[in-house]
Amino acid sequence: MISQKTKRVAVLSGVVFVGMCVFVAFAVRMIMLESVVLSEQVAAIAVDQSQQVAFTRLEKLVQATAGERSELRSFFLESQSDSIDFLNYIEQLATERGVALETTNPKEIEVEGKTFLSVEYSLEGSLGQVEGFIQLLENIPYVSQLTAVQLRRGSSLVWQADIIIDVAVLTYEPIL
Amino acid sequence: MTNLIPPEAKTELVRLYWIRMVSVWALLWSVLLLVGALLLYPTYLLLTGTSAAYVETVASVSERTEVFDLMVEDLNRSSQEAKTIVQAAGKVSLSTLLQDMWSVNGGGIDIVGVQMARDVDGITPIGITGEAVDRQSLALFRDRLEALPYVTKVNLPIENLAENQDITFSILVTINSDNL
Repeated sequence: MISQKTKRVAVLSGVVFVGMCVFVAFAVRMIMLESVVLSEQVAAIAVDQSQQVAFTRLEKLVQATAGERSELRSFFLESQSDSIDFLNYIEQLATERGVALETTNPKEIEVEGKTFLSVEYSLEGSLGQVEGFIQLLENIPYVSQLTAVQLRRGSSLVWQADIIIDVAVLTYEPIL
Repeated sequence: MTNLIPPEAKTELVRLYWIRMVSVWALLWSVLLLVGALLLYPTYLLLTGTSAAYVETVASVSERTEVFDLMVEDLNRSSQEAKTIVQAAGKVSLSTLLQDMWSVNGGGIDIVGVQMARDVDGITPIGITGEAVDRQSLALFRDRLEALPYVTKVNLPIENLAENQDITFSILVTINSDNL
């Protein structure tokens, strides 16, 4: 007959053994997790140190080209207020040159993955005025292109033109 | 030597032996595991301590990396913008074509309309409408258009030549954008 004391000792030893196994497994797991965290930190610091020179150069490049990049950006329409500024600018140019201008159907279009503000204009004036204005539209400080021009004589002195101009809107496709 | 233990008692004795044996081994292993765990503790302390010491450095590194990622994105964006500007600058100017059309005007020809457009492939055929004094002046106008270096074809419908004088014409000029 097995005594109560033996049974108690057997059960206790079993519980202690299982408990110690769990404790050691937990301790090993904690150490492994901490080592993973530490190795990631060390790797990040190593990458940072190895690229320090490149980062410094990049920083200098960004600072040195800030003006030029800002100028490049100014040739694009970036927001709706830029679009309004553009439309006002063209209307002001027409007024200054004595050309009757009517703006119709401004809309955003996509061509080959790029976004453009497409605006149709109807012009009226002398041949010189209309031709000069068409030429002016191709030299405005925006990334733009005339996509259609229809020029016709209205009367002996008055010429009319229907023009479609596409102005580039700032879009960015991240390089993966 | 005679074994005087009865068989039932012997079986019980063997069971007792194994129970005690397993209990002792379990306790022994428990002690060994405890010692092992205690030996791992300095490693754990070292790891957490080093990791805590790096936390600030890593935070500044990741902050710097974010800044550099933004700078790279900014430069890529500018590069794309510059590319778009260069592409746009390389495209044919419609006002230049218009001026060329006017430059061949005259000599009994009165242009009253010009239509031109561009698509993704380049400039679509240019339509010119007008009035010619006679067939001869219209033929010369066609020749002058054909003499332009980028003009590949001038389509003058034969119906336009029905009248000999005061001809209303409509010409379609096909151009090769590569020659511009």
